[in-house]
Amino acid sequence: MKLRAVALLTRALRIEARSGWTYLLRVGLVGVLMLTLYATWQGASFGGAPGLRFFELVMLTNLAILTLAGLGFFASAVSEEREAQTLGLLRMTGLTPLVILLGKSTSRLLKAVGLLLVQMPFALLAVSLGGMMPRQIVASYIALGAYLVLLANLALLFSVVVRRTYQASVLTGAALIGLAILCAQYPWLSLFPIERLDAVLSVGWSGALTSLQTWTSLGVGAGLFVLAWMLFDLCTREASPAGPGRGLVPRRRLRRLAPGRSWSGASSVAWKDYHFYASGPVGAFGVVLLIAVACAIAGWFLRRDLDSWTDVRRIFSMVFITASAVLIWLGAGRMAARVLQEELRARTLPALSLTRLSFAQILGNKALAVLLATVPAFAFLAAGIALIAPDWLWGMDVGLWTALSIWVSVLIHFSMYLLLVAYFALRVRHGAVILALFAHMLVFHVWGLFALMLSLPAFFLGGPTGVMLWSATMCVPISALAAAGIRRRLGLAVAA
Amino acid sequence: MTANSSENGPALEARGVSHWYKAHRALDQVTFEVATGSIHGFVGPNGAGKTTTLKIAATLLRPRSGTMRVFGRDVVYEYRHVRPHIGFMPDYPALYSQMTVFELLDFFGAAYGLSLYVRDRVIKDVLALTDMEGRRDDLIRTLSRGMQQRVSLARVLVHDPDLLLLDEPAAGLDPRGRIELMEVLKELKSMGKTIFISSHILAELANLCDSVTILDRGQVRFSGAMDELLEQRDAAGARHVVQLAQPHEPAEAAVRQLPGLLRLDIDESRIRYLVEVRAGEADPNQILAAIMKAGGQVVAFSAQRKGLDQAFLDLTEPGVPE
Repeated sequence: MKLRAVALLTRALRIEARSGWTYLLRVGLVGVLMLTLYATWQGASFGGAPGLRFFELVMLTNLAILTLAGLGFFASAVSEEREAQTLGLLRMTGLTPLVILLGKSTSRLLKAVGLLLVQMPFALLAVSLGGMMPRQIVASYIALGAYLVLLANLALLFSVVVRRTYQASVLTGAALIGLAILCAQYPWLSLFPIERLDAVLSVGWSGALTSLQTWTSLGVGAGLFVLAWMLFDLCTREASPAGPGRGLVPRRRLRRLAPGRSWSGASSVAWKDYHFYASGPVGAFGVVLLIAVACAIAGWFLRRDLDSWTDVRRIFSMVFITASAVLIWLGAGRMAARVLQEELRARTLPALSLTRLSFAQILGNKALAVLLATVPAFAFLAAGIALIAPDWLWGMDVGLWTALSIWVSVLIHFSMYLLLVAYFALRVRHGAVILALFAHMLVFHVWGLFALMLSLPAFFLGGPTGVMLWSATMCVPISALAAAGIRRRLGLAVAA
Repeated sequence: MTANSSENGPALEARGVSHWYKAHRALDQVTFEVATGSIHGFVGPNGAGKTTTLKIAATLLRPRSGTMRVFGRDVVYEYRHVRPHIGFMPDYPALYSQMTVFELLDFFGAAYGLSLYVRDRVIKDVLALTDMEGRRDDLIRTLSRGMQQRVSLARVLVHDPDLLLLDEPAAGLDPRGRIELMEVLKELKSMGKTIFISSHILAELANLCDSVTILDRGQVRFSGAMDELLEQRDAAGARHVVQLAQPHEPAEAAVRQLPGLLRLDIDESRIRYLVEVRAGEADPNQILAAIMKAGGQVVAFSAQRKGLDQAFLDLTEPGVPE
């Protein structure tokens, strides 16, 4: 019985131990820490308590990585078994819902804890650097650990309730935003560790190791786990049909929004991907709705500060820019992952490559579909910039060339990010977007320094040109490597 | 390069094709021909190299050595010319499950460069041919495996290819579905298509195919006309089935006296005889004459050929290839 209770956990741990990605991820995280350490050392002369500043950076990185992991990694706990049609088989072996939930969530939790533990020796360097006490480090990790429990169980609940990992990820993200709003409204509901970390990471702090946040997060996390357990039988009774669902794409009702007839020639690929992976016009409407909700929430919270048209303009431009930037990076990333991953899963690439379309045409039109999917978010980004332009651009006296250089640099980074997502999507089942963000961060910190040296002469030509050339030197080789990797992987998939 | 323009040459021609995956040799000097306008069966045990051969023919995999030609064009160097003329149906339903049947066919039609008007006509035709007209607006993920196989076949036919490469098309089909598939393939043959079909359902292939290639452990064991294969199998002995109106012991004794008798099986009712005689020693007339002379009343007489399954067992080695 004891063996049965930990059977799933043992299997997950074995798989994890055999996977090269586990170690690569840990090494990557340690690499980020080293760079953070380097950055702190570089800036040591600008202020005191370098250990504290180093640890602050580490904690912020951890918080960002764990939150992103919650959306991808934890949300797939049960839904991945449903997608692979193996949940029924697990149930047939006599495993109870509790054992399945414990096995699936504990293994993921342990993996995340492993990522935190691997940092410990480096984190303790903060004490040597000065400005930090070991007690502060322990208290910070406790706060982060409690948040991890909350996040893992929130994602686990949605992973039980819905059939698809993507749906679970979106719902977890939405629930996190909802909880953040709730916590802002009712400060006693301390679920997020930001305030706690802010308090702990102040010079001379010597409070208790645990706080209200620790217990609230653990309590709510446990409650969510119990809820997932109670709902397990009810929600997993029906097996999920194999293959991806149609999502929001209308069929008979709302005919005007249905995909209609395929576009001709090579653009048929863009038609397919845009309508069936990004939900076409319905997906665009969803983006508009999301930004509208973000505006409404921002308007509600900041209603007292909206004294003049200028205030309205500033606040809404910030909401437009922030929400659209997040939607572009996450939405386009998810789309870039899906357009290739789904072809591989459905094994449709050979059939597609036998049509009259060349590989370049197929990939080009897939990229077009990704861009089409981000058009509404880009429109809001443009609207946000237009709203702030009178105050910001005109005031700063930014020249056309500077603005252009900034945009070109952003586009170069964006292209590299999308290629990294596509590459990782062909290598891993879930979490390609997170890995790409992580890899982008690494590229920026590690390769960026060398690229800076390589493009140094360009800086003498002028600031904006230098930035553009630096971005190109940094991103183009990595993009080329990612593109070659994608090409190789797809070639193998066609012949497999 | 249409089937009509290349009537003189074979539709598919493999010459010394070899392929290996790391240490495993999947194909070893494979040579065969598929005549234009014929149905050619491709049989072999699991792991024999059938799918690898089909993938090479479909231009999806480059052979390590040897050449393969489709209507005279090399599948490696002239794949762009080859692809419009082939329709490849893999042994799994390679379909977009979130689309409806019509959306899928429309998409592939567009990807093959067909105009809207042509697409409408072709989709209507292929849905009629595969008997899927009533399911055109159904989501593919909601269809059964057999239905998905039909959609796969419809997808392969959208661009009107001259050569169909079908890998286990009957897998997952119920008996009725298999019979209907065979009828569809016969109809496609009558339309001038060449069909290269891999299948494990040997009885149906024997009735359907004009020619056959038997592959085992990456090597061709036989390639030629189906009749030639079955006759070759019959060379040792000929089998005949005799049915009498009623049990008749003298007739039974007369058959036992036949020269070159190899085997005599009599069923429980003692009216049905399976007679196997050494080739060249007793012809059907002698068997009939012996029974009738003994006073037996024959109501049915037929020659029984050894089946493709027996030929398959004779030509292939037992066990799983390493």
